[in-house]
Amino acid sequence: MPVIYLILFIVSLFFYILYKGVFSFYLFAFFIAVPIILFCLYLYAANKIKLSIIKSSKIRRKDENIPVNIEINNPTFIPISGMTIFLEIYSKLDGDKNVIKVCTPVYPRDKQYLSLIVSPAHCGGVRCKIVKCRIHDLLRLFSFKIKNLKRSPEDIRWDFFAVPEYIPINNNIENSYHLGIETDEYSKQSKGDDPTEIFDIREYSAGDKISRIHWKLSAKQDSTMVKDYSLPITNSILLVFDPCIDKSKEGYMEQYDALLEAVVTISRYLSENSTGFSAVWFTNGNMKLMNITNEEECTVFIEKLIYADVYDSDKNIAALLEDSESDLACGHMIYFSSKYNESITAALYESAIALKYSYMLGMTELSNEKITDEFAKVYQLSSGSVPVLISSLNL
Amino acid sequence: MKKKTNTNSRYGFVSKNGLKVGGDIALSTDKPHEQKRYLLVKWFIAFLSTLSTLAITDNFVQTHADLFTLAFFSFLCTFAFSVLKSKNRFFKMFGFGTVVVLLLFVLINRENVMGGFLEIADRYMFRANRPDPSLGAALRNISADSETAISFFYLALSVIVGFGTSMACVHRTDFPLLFLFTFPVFELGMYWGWDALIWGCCAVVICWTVILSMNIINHTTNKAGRKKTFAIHERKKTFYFTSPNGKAAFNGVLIKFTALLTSLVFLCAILFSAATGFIRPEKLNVYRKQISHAFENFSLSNLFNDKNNIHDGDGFLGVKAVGGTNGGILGQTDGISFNGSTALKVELPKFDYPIYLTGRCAGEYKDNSWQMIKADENADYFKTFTDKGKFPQDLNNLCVNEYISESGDKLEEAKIKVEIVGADPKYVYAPYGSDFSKASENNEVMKMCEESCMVAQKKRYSISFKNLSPLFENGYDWCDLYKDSYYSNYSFKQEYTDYVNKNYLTYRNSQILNDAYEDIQNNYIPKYRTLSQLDEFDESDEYYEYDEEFGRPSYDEVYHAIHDYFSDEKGQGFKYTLTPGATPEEKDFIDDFLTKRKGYCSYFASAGVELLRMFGYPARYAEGYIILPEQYHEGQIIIEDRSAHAWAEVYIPGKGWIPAEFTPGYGDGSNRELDNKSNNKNDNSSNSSSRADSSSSKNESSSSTAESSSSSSSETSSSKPDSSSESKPDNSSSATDSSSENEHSSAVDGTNSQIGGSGTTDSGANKSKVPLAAIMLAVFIVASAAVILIRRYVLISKKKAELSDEDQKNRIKSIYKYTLKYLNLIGIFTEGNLTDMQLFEKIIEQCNDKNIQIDEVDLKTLFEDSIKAQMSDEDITSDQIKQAEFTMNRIFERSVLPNLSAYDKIKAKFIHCLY
Repeated sequence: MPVIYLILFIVSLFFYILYKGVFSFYLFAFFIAVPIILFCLYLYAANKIKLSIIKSSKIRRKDENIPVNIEINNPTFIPISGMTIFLEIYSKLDGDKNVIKVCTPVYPRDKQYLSLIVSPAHCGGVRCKIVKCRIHDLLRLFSFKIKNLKRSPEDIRWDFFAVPEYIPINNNIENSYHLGIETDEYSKQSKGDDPTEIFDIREYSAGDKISRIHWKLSAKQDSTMVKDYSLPITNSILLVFDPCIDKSKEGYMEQYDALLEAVVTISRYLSENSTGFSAVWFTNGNMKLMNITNEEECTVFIEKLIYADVYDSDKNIAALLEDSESDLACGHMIYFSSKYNESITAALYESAIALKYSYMLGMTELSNEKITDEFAKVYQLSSGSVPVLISSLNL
Repeated sequence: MKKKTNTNSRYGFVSKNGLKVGGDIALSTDKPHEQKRYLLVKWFIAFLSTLSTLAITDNFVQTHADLFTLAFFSFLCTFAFSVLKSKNRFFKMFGFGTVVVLLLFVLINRENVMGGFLEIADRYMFRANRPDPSLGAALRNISADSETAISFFYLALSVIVGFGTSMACVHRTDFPLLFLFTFPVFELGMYWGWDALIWGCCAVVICWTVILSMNIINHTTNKAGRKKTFAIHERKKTFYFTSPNGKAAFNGVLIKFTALLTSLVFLCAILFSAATGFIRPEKLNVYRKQISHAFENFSLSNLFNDKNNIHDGDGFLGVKAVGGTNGGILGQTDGISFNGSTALKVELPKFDYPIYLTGRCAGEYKDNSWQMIKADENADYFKTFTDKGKFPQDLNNLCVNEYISESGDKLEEAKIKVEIVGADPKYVYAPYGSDFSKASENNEVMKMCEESCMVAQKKRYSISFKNLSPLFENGYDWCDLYKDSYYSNYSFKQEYTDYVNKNYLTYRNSQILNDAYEDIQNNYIPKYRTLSQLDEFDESDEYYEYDEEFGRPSYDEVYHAIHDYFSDEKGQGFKYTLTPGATPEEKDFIDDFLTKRKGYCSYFASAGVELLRMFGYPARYAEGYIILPEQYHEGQIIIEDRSAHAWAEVYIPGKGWIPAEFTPGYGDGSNRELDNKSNNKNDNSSNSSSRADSSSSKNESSSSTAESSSSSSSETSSSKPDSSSESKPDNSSSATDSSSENEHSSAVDGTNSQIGGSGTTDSGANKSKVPLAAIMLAVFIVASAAVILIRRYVLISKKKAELSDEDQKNRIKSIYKYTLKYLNLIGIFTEGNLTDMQLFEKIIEQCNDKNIQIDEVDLKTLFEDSIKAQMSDEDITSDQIKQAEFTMNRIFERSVLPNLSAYDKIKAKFIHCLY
């Protein structure tokens, strides 16, 4: 259009020179004034228009239709016939950046909302960001950048994490107390045999041991009361999330999906059953540890996995082994990774972090060849069938 | 494969990692934006552009059509074509019927339409000064009255333009189509530089801009998935706004903004122009002239030809002409034109004689051009001047300085200040009797150029000259100088006279020139010999006697004879025209002129120089400007290009070089180009210019020329036999004197006088048009009213029948249907893929949003009864019917009627026919 307009302007100039009638002046003035006025108006509008992404829950399910809501606030009286929004959708897993353009009109003195549906096929973090926004005047002579984008970078960005759908499992949860690990924590749901902590006091019922009768209380209550002892529980499960994805291999996204599906399923199951556990992951090579005792903490843990290192790095396992003698001692260590060799399990075993090791190996597709390991029980996982594959896992 | 297709239709974009982006984007706003009246606004644009186009046509061809008639035609045609897009079946049928009737009407009256077209084409060509006799002949075969035929033509034109504009604005949003149907008319008039109809042209430009702005959006979104709000262009990974409803809603806002903005811009330009009087800077006229010349002179064959650079080569585009003529190059172009640009600005004391400001003089006629004779600074004649510190150009000053009256008075010395604006800045433009050597001493940058003219390096200079006004006191002209009581005491040295006789007496040997000479000798010289006045002159001055020594008639005899030869209307006569046509390559310019007998000042001056030489008088060719006493006023005098002129100079010993005027219309101190301009102005207003009157009254030769050329005008306008006889003499004079642009303008004036000059004719035309329009309008209104009333009667009857159906189930269904229709009137949405109860909830929600009170329980009962009537086998009781009727009437009276505007009520009554 600018070229066409320039031609028209030159024509109007010639018309003005050659044609002596007053209309030639009006036309020439029109051709001069219109771009100047449009320039000023749309420059003003570009300074006033605000764009933002309306943020909602960060944790989203894989394959869910996730609305990305963009709010456009045009407080000016100028209708924008052409606004182009450059929306970058960045997948953190593969680093793939897709920039999608949205050409929309913008009403004057109004707020308008664009709701774009995004649906991730794989698990992982996704960032939606308005990287650029331009408006055009009604004759498309000029194009202006919306200044507001630089002023509020947080408003134009939204990160969410696509997690697999949680399918309940019903695995056995072992209490590591029996394995000889001492603890000061007791179960709030189940009674046990530790006489140092009373779980409940109740009336006697047939079958109760005589030794459990609370004689003093019985005398006061004029009824036979017995005491239940508490069950000591050991926070003895450690989930280590170290995907070690090799991007050069085909199907690495499926591997990641399987690992994430497994870690989410197990952590949710444990928290639902009020079984505390610890989780370790790595962010920029730094080990992060979190103790999870309830479902809220479990959700926070899953959110934090957004920032977990995904790719293969020997430093992560080395850091883990160095810290083995401190906080990480546990009864059962479940290691989530797509990289497997016997030396890793051997190193883990030698570190004596846990009494028992399970190795969750993310696979591209299910293999009939079962891996047997001397030091750990290896579970070969494939996306979509994790609950079945870990059904034999004794937590 | 099927699955893939489904995925693609659901998702607009899928990345390589499987991230899917939906195929549509939902758009919502805080405030509601409805598409109400969008169609109406688009129709109005179509109507406005059609009306403007018709009005511009009328303005250009000056048919003085009634604006009301044009508006009615535009309304009818655009409305008929536009409503074809309406969803309302009645409007659609009405539009279709009207279009059919219009087309049939035009077809049946095709002869009248054709007659109107020919009439308008004839008027157009006549105004453009390109009268086409074949049009006139064709017109004679048309039996219809011309005004009626023009009305029919406008109707046909409005059908064509209305079709185009409706298609461009209503059915599509198509700027090229709108441009295609409106621009040709705009261009046809502008091409000739005719005054434009300001409001019409502004309106057309506004319509263009509005449609273009919408077209730009439309263009980029005209992709697949038009039914969605947005559709993705997969390759570009771009979502475009495609929703027709969304576009309609936004365009409604955009149209208002664009129309307002563009109107304001035009308004500001008009107000600015009205307040300051500014239209165009003076300098533009210079560029205009230069560009015009460049275009006129441009040809591929001449592109690399040196001669194309005809004016010593230092002008813009190589076309700057001395004095606005052609710099001594003759016959290269078809003609010349004047555009009223400023050539010079001069300041000088009051004068009573025509002052010739000489720019360039040349004495050698060669290859159809006048070239300067080179000065020989070592020659004896040259030294007669340089010895005294003078230039040969000072000859006239030297002579005039010695003029002394009988009472011993000398002529007063005056000063002229000159500013060169559009004239060639190379030359010094100075009056006769100027003291160039003195001016040169006063640090004015001025150099001698050969022996005949001066070259200036500055655009502003002043120069002393002798005011010759006393010599012209008795109505004498330049030729009569010698009879004056002033006598020159200056005696020339014989060397200069010998030099002049040697160089300025040579002429070409040509049979045509000889024939002209013979003709003058035999038919014009003797006339003066019989004049008694001549005897008096013979006694008073030697130059009025037959020169026995040289064997030549006296200068007075020769001058008047040649002058009469060119101006004589009784003989074959010569026609003054600015467009004589280029001289054919193999022909001599002067021979061609003497054969064709038409040309402008350069032609007459060139031939005059040669003829003077043949009669034994040294002569040369001069170019410059002429200023008339009438042009004098205090302060600066603006000299336009119309004052540019070429003339002959004759050498008279003792007097020097004096102008010899042979161009008809320029004798006795007049300038036909200025007269024409003045006359044109007079034609446009009733006030007559005193200068024009005086010049026409005292200029016998001018009027005689005018008479002589009036015959040519009647020839020109032969396609309109009565035009010349109807024209007033003054108008005919102005119309016939001019040619080229002047002919254009005078032809226009002629047209004006023919069309608009006679009040009776014009009002008669209006009388004949108004009844036709009024009758057509009346017929249209009556027909429309009849259709609306009949339709209303039919639909009301149908409603009554449905609401009193004996079948109770059908009756309650009808009550339900009409209740929804009533709610529709107040903008309650009742359509969509919803169940009845969902619809009920939607209605209640909308009513709450709009603060409309509605009886929810009654309405729900009506819905339930309606569902029962449609779905169930149960009978409907009369109580249920009564309750339903009560609900319907109550909703109409309490909820609907109070919320209807007057316009909505009319619509409900006559369009929807609901009550």
